[in-house]
Amino acid sequence: MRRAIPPVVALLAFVAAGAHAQQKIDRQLPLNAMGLVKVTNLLGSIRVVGWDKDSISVVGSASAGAKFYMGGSPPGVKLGLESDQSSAGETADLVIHVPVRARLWLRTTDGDVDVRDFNGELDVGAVNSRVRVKGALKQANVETMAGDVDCTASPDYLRIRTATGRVTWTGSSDDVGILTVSGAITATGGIVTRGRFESVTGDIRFAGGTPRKGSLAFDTHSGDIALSLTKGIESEITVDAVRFDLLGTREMSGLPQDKRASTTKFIGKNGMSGATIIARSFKGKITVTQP
Amino acid sequence: MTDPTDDDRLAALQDAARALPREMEPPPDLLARVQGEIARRQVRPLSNGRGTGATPRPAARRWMLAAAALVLIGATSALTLMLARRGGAPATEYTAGSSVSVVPLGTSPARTAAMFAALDQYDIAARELSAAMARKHGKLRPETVAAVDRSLRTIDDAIAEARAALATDPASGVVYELLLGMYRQKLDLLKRSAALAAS
Repeated sequence: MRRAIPPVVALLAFVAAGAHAQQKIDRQLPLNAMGLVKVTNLLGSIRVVGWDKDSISVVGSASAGAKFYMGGSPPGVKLGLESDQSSAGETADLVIHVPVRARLWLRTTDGDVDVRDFNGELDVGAVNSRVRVKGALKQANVETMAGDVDCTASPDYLRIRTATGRVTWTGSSDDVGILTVSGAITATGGIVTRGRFESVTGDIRFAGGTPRKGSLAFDTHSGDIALSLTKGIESEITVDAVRFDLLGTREMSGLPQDKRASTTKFIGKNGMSGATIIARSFKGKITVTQP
Repeated sequence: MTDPTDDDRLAALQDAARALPREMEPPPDLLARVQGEIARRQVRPLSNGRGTGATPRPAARRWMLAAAALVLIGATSALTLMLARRGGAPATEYTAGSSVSVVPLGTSPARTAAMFAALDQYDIAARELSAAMARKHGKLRPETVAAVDRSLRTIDDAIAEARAALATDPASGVVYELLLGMYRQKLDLLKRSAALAAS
């Protein structure tokens, strides 16, 4: 006569089997303060934290059978999984500590990316991943297709490109380019010297300012554009859209340039001289607010 | 005496840029060259059937694409300058809340033809990149292909809409410039997809 397996025993066996299916990763290597780190982890998360040490540390877990590699020398280190993760279905979740001013190159398709307390140069290429970045980055380039990007940083140079992913950026920069196809763009809080914000169908919201000789351009085909400009900014503003509102811009005066079948163009001057701001939407509404 | 700072140099560069003329005549033979390039590409030599001869090798093809891109860049830059030259005194002073009186823009058949010719060049480049991408679809995950296709459809719909608007309103510089931006987005998306497939 066969006896049934008690549920507790079955549960313990399941947990034990699950633990066995994962392998632990715990590796360290020396790395220069501004060394290059290349990470390829297509499935699974990548979390990077900057620290004040001349070394790199990787801890995490990978699915059984996955071959984790890590090698290099103080000028540069590469790490990731050797196999074609997509076909093998192998995942790895990695927590990586790097020198705070290192150069980071991250590639993934579906794994979320989280970069914190990092002040160096960042290059992220992803597909569906959600990318979150926070730190005093020197420069950053982030590309995803469907993943959202959430960036809180003020790098000298910033480029973010997505297809359907939304972009939220909080910070300032000398040189910014944010482009999406349908993802909404929200940029708040900072001073941008030279900025270009483009979306085909996504809305664009900007709250901030630009210095005296700055230039900002906002283009969208069918999205709305909402600009909330910092008080006191002197600029020449060109607005070209079917509908636009200039709110609270009591000092703004200007001349309507032309009206066509598609849009109406307005050029206004707010103050004596300075920055150039251009906002254009083929179908959407543009709102410019300045206290 | 100290060396100028980056800010000083940037300010000097910006001042120098402001001193440049706001208008420039495009090269007189530009339109003829653009039309010649279109005509040249419409007549493709037949392959001899053995995979050699008329079909350019990949390296030669890259050079051809690079040359076409140069023509495209030159044409669109010149056209943007031409569009920026449009005159017309503004009709009324604008203040928030007032009605807007406007002056219609002028255009010419030559400018319109050149503008559409430049957009056609973007179409050709996009079609070639799309064809190259279609051959690599197998190397991408189905979800990725779906995401790319969805975005391409979004861009194509917007391009079709803007082109239709431009056809009825050829003087609209903003529609033309938005169109150029969308074409650049499309080429960029295709290029990024190709890079994904190659990685």
